[in-house]
Amino acid sequence: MNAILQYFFDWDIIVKSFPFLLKGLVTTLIIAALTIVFGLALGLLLACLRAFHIRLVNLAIIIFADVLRSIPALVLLIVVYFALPEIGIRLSGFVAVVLVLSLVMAAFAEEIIWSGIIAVDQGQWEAGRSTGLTFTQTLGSIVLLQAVQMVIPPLTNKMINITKNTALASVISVSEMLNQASSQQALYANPTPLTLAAILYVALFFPLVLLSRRIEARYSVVR
Amino acid sequence: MASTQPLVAPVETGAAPLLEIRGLHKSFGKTAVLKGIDLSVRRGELVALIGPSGSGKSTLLRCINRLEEPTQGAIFLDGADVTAARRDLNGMRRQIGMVFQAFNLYPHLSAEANVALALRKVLKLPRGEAARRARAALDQVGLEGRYGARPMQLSGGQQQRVGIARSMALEPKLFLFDEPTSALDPELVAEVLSVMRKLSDDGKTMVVVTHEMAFARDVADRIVFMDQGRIVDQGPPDHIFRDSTNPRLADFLRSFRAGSESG
Repeated sequence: MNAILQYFFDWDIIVKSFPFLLKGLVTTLIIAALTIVFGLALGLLLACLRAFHIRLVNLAIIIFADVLRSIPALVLLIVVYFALPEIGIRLSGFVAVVLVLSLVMAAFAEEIIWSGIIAVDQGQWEAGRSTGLTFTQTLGSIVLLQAVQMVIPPLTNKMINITKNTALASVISVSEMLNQASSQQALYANPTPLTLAAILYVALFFPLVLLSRRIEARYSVVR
Repeated sequence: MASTQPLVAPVETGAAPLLEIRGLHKSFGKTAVLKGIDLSVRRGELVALIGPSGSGKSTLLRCINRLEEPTQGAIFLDGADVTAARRDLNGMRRQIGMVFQAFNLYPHLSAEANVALALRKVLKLPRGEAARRARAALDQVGLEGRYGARPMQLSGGQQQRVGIARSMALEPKLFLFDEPTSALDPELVAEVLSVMRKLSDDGKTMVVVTHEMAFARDVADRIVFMDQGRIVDQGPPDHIFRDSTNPRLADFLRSFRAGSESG
């Protein structure tokens, strides 16, 4: 028992590797934040564009969303990082991971927000249009707010899901938390840094999961 | 001007109708819902549209502000062709107030904001001015002091009065009411009808799709009876409820009485 504890939870190694993991955590947080901001913004934009029902535009949006939702993020990341340089597009690991995760986030966010937009009662559109509001005004001031409010729970879930994928960046040697943990593990030939990383991931995401539960409870009120 | 229709109550000489509908057809796919409607409404007139469900009353109303696109025919509001291809739809719509059966209030906004939204976005009034006018409209429908209430916090009758205030605030030339009391509990119908009666007394022009026969009889200047996409009979309340010998109208009124007694 003691040996196991020693092996996975060596206090000495924890103290020594902690600063490195903390640095990794900061990078993880930055990637996550950028992914959420860019992903949500693009997803929202695409969902709004889709509401205009322009045939070709919608086809493009649907293809984008469906393709990105069906490719594993890791595959996309490897393609972007290792294959694009072959055609002269060289992105840093950091940019590559933010780009890939943002696009994946945007694809899911677009689908989720769109499902909210079509769930808003048709009467809301009619009320807006009948008082002389333009289509864009009706969408912006009346429909979109209600749509987003409806889909906050699935959207929050997706955000947690995709920001957890920041760990994928370790395979393209971005020094986020998992990457730091594996180098520390190699350095000490001991898995304790990985244990520590797992604990830090829980510390980071558990509050978010709890928050999403509360949001879900709050917005699931019968409308 | 257009030839006067035989059944229209006599119009003051020279006064052009505010609303004129000619040869209106509307089909959904292969289903013809409106099969040639001719109707004109004078300024200040309250026209009640009655008829069995599926007769096309609501569709007719919704064609007037083009929530439905007419398949054929012309609609003139104050002389301007509503159906013209290049018509400024939004500018036209704000001159036509619409009140819906399901209220269609914006659930995320307060009563005041529900009314003020179009004032700010369409009339481009500054925030303070829009709020002032929104409150004035809410006062007129008897909702003083409920400015901050969300729709969900209001009774059905109050919600519908917010709906009326929302269209009133834009000072439209014409009001369309699409079964405004059909979604209300019976005890809440009266408060909405009394607001509508007041609007009519103020000289507003109104077209009202309704199942409230008592309201139609007491307040309408003219009642138009529709059946199967056509206007079958029309005239002042006395004509519809007393003098008309139209068998379909008689059927409708009979079934209606039976229905309202059992319900």
